[in-house]
Amino acid sequence: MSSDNKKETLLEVRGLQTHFQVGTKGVIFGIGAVKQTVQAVDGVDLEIMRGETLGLVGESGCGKSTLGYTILQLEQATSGEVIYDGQSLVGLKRNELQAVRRKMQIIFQDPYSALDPRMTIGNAIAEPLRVHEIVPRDEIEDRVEELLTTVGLNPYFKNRYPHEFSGGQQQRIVIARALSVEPEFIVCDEPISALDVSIQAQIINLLEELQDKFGLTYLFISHDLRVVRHISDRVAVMYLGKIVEQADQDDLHSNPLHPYSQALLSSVPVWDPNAAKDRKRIILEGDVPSPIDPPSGCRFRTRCPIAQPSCADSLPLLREVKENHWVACHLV
Amino acid sequence: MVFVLVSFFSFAALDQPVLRQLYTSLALVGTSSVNLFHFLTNFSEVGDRLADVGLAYLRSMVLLMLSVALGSGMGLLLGFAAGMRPNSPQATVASAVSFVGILTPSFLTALFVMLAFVRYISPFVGIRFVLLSPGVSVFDVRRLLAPAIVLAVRPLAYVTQVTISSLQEVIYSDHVRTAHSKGLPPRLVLSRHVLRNVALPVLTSINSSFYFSLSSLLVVEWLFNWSGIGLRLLEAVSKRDAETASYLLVSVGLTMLLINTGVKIAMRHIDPREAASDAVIS
Repeated sequence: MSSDNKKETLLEVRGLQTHFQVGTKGVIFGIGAVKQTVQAVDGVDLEIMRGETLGLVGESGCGKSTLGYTILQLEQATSGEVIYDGQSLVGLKRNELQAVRRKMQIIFQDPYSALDPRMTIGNAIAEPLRVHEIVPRDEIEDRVEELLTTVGLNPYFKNRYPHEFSGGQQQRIVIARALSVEPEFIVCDEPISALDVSIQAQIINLLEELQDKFGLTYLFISHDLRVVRHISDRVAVMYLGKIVEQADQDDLHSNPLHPYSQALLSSVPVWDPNAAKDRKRIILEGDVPSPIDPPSGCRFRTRCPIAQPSCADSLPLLREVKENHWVACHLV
Repeated sequence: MVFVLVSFFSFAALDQPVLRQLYTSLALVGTSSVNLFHFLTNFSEVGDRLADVGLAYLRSMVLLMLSVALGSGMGLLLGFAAGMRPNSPQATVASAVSFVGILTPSFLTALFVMLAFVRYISPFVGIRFVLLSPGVSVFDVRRLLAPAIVLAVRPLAYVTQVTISSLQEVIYSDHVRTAHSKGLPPRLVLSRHVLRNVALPVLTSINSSFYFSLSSLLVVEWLFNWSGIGLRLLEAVSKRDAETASYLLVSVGLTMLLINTGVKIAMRHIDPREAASDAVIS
């Protein structure tokens, strides 16, 4: 998709779909229940280059996290392909997948729920080291202490339990745990949204330092556009299970082309009151349609301020409207 | 609030004049002394009574432990079968069983079980399971099975429900996703990250199940002529034998205290947060 041929593609997603079967409750014991399909991710194409950060933004419930889980094979893809470093991951057997898991890790939104409450943080970090036999057994403890130091924590903390730490410290532990397998690619699933603003900056800086130090590649999922602008090289905008726009972060922020991206960016608060006065805010009307029964044609048309009757006829495909800038809209 | 306060002061006689309070206290001390004297002078009679209560207690405990073990074991199996596959037919069966089990009163279950054993199972296997003779040994499986099944129904239903809901919560939690992303084999994810986190609510539900069974003991022992604390309590009440009744009630109270303490100790070992909360309280 990207025409930047200088960088090597690390991850490629082609026509990825993740659908879930859900059922209404029924009258009693499931009798009378109706099965429905939630189209959480529906035909996503993406490319992530080695060493870059791709920001993924969109409203809550648009399928960002599900896309991240499906890329990591934590959710089963309904169809499509996830190609990591030239290897297709969809349909791999468990033992084949285990080798790839070492290279791909995840950082969750809520650090407390991402840590087993019954396990000391030392054990949580050491567990993947034992499973993948990354270091000899007698060096595991030293490695755990080294990882804790890397993320700015005292190695003395290794025998403590997750509930004994603050939110920021817990997120550092989660990052240390993710780093323990020496990954190349990390899905950061809203890693700062559960933290205080002062702690958010620390974690963002830490992620950037680690990226420089270890050459990591991030898929950074967030709905905070300011943070995405700060950390990302490129940004993809997602709406109701589909990517609607993808571009370099500077290009997207200065010149968003899709009406949904324009509305999202216009909602970001600006510090300068004079600049805020001149700015045109686009307020979207109505709720996000249900992913069980999305609108025909363009999925955004029911809330789009410039929608035309023809938008209901066919699904707009993602196309390159200028260099490295892709948009899925009939009217752009 | 006012009503509660007035009741309390009336009960403690604090609303009475000081002399009246003194008289009441002295009378109370006198009554207690007489009771203690009676206890010491009739020690052999009391001993016989205690031995009798002890035997009844043993009978009930054997029945209770068997029923809770049976119900919890079955509940865990059913709960795991359903919780691991929430949309499967076994999940529907488990939900139905737990729903019916919790709603059906013990006397009704007892009658159904009695009918099933007498009418269908005994003629089929050639063994009489429902024996109403009190002379049979306490450990005789033929006598134990039917009442134990009745008492096991509610623990089964409750443990099934708790296991299903706890499993659903833990399986889809982020730390279990993290364990999968670490590359742990599924059996290790299950044993290290799922089962250990499910253990705490399940243990609490087994503890509560014991009380469910205890509350049904009276009816079940009476229906199956099982000479345990439930039946003895009924007899003591009908004979207006306050002494035996109080021994029986104290034994039940002490058992609840022991079980609660045991569960609390187990919880401290299972979950480090429990130990931490105790440390903060102390």
